[in-house]
Amino acid sequence: MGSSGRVPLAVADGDDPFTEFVLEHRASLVRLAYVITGDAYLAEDLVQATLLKTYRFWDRVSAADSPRAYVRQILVREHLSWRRRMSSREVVHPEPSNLVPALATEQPDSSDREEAWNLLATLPPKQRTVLALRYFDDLSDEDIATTMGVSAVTVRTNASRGLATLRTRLQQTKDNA
Amino acid sequence: MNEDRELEDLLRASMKHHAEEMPEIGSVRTRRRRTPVLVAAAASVVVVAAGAVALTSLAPIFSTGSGTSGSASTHLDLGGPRPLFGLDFSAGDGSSAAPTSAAAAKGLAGFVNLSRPMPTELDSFCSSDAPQHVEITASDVSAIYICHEGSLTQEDGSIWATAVVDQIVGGIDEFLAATALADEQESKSCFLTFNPPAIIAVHTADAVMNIDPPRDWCRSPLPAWTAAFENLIVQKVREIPIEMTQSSLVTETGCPDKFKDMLILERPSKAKGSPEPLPESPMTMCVYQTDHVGEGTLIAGLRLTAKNVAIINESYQTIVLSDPECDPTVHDHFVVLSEGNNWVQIALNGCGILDRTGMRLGSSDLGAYLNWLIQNSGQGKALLNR
Repeated sequence: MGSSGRVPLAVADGDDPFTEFVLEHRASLVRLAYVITGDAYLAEDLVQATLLKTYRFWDRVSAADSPRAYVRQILVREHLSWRRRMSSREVVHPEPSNLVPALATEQPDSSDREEAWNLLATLPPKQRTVLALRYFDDLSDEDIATTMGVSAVTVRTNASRGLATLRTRLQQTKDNA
Repeated sequence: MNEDRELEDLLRASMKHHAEEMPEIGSVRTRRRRTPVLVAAAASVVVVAAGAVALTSLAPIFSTGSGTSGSASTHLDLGGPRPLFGLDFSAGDGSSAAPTSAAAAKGLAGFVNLSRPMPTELDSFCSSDAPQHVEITASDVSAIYICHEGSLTQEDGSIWATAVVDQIVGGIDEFLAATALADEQESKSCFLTFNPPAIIAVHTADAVMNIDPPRDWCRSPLPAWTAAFENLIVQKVREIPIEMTQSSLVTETGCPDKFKDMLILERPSKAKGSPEPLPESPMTMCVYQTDHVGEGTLIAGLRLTAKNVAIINESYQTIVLSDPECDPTVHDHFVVLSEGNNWVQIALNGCGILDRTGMRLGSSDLGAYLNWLIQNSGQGKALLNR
């Protein structure tokens, strides 16, 4: 692809179903990806990769009962597989808001809400993903299980462990304050 | 129960607040004035054209190695003028052959924007102001510099991200003419985020100004500008190491510097029997220290002989599955043995073994043997000290 023959780097029109889907849902997908990853750059990349897959399988996605739920499933599974692959490929620098609690507590105006966000970043990816789907996207444990491709028991186990960790660390943070 | 409810409410509030306040990508360094959509330093681009789909990423790959941002002071004067596309030939001889369309296409993508604050030593070359799309005549220009990120291998084998300053020494007239072209009208259906992968600073008699290219309907630089950019002749005038991206240990061992601790993250499968035997030929063994939340950091690496691997295969037979004492999260170190498509991840002082047939929990004398190998390789001291 030469520079002079540069192809349009986007979908051509606003009137095809895929474009309409992207326009309608991209922002909410980025927000979900941000809550799951805790990193704005990673969230953008994750959504781009998700939309790429969505485009490839658009026939299947568009035929689903809920295309948005289907794409959310792609996003979540892409994230979890990314987390594995990233270990040997790249490491994304955490944003300041994702620093470990010890640093975050040095912020004079840190609130419980900020601390909870910082502590979320310390959870293993599956636990964080479960909590994000449960408390940000308000999914039931059964829907989360379908989205992640695991059993509902696994979802509850991950949620329980994640919450227990957060509760303990929040308490430690308060005790150290 | 109330505590649970409070925590859940706190999480809901925290997630919704942060999702609404999500930082705008690219707001640190590369803000455009003319369009409300900010460009991304780590932008990925979905390319959809005539049925062809590809994902390209301009994201730099970095490790979390200890940074020394702005502190290093090695200044290098490197080589003579060369065509800009030559920068892409990282393994080549920097030859100045005439550009071809394929080489030119790599010219723009061959640049990576600085992902960290620019060292203050480079302030005199490139400004930290937002880029502007402006018309400048060549007669007003005293110099044009391109500031971007590079990569430099040190004598010890470590690889550093560098801040690089190139001075444009040829093709300026055509480049400024292309820069002065008008933007196309932007389409609402475009969701592309594109970032010029370098700061381009124009110096005039009384100002330094970062310039932004003219954009097409989907925020990409106009092809005419891209062509002019790729025909520039540049000379590197400064390169400053800013952060180690790959340790010498990674270079020496060939092991990734980070590896997911899948023994913690992976759900134990229903795999039965012993793990798949490894091919009895030399393998690399990378040793990692886990952070207990799913990430390992490389601390040693060694080459195993075929005999070592044969003993490991024998040790597989000693694994006692369904050990009630086994907790996959209890280990400080793990190793990854790999060669070609064959790999296995083993807890050194724990009981998890993961290979492509699944994850097994069981006690064995395998960890003791691997520990012995590490001690004998002379790297055991480093392991024990961590």
